[in-house]
Amino acid sequence: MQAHDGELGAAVARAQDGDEAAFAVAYRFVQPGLLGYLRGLVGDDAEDVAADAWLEIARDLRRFRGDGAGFRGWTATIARHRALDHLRRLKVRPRSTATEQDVLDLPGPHSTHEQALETLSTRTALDLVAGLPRDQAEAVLLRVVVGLDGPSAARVLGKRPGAVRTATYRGLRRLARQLGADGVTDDGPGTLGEST
Amino acid sequence: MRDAEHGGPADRAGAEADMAVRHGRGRGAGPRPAPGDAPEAEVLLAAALREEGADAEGERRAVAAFRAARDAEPGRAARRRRRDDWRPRSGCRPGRSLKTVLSVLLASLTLGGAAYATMGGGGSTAHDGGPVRTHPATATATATATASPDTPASDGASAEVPVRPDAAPSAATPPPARETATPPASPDRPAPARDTEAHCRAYERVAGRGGALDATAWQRLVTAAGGAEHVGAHCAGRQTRPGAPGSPNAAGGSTGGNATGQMPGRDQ
Repeated sequence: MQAHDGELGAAVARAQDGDEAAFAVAYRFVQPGLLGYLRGLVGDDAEDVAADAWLEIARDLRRFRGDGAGFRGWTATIARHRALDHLRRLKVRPRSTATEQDVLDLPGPHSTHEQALETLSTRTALDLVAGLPRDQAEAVLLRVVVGLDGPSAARVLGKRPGAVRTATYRGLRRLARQLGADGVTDDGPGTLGEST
Repeated sequence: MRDAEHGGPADRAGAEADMAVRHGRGRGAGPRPAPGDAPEAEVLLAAALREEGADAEGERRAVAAFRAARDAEPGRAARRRRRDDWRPRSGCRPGRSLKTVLSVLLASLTLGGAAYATMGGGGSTAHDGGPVRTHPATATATATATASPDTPASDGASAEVPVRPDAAPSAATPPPARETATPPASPDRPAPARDTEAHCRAYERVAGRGGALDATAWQRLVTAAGGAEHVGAHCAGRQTRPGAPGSPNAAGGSTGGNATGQMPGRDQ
């Protein structure tokens, strides 16, 4: 996704000059990662929150300054604020998107490593991410799904880059353990129980 | 479709595929090392969580919002906000690192200066005698007074050395340090007379042998006697005083002070 940052930056620049088609191009570049990030934050409400975020993005686009990678960070920040507003309205914390039933539906000891590799569904991936501590889950989503680098993810989260780097590393390592068949068998219940 | 649209993860996925195959083969060997797994997990998660595909409705609404915003405020009057500035910071990084280096340097200088002031403060208190800083000075006086009757020649050196170990404890607990340090000072040092006698005895031993006579104690002795040539007479007068334990021997030992030394002896 970083490979397209040049095109994205050019599209954003044209959109800032009023080019409607360029704005649509930027939308297509950014929306998949943004939606995945929001899915991890607010679950099934991701589309609604994304629509809110895009209203704000369209409104404030002239204020934005930066390149394609910066546009990813800027839009992720807006989406995150909308998601937090949404959660505040619901009085529900993001953690609760993974219900007890979701946890029980995680790949069990029976699923082999090859199966996990080939059939990692969106649902399963979301449940795995939701099983992480909040800071690790958000850091992993921003890096892997939105495609931000460390400093940008840190700015979106309002944290120090070192803390976000550590959270990303730990989250990915934990997910990697759970994705492996051995890891799911051995570590699955313990890590999930610890995080809830 | 995903791979075609997003070359970044797709390229990495190609590289990670080999890794996944290796991991699949070596699976029976037990828990696999984490470093090789994290990128694999990244690719899997990216593929599973990035929601590709036509989102025509969302795009239509977003573009409509864009159009509305563009038509509503055609000018560029929008106020710039810091949170909207995502330009690369590459130009600012050297400045920031220089600032970091400078602040670290300044902090080290400050800390070093404070540490040096703490150490040097003990030495300087012997001279300025401030209200708080008198404790090291009295401690020094105690050490010097106990040391001077036996080894007067080391007087000048012992005035500096014992200060530093005492400086920190006396600064940490000022009131007890003053009360414990002051009383021993007075019994050990009843009068300047004993100092003078000790200096006189040592003076005779080291007289004419060079640098030791430059020490402050000797300067004081010479000043008290009224000149270098009068030291002998000065000392003789002190040492023949009754009450001084070794006065007959000392008076007999001093060759130059005999004639004048008998004068105060007769007076008493």
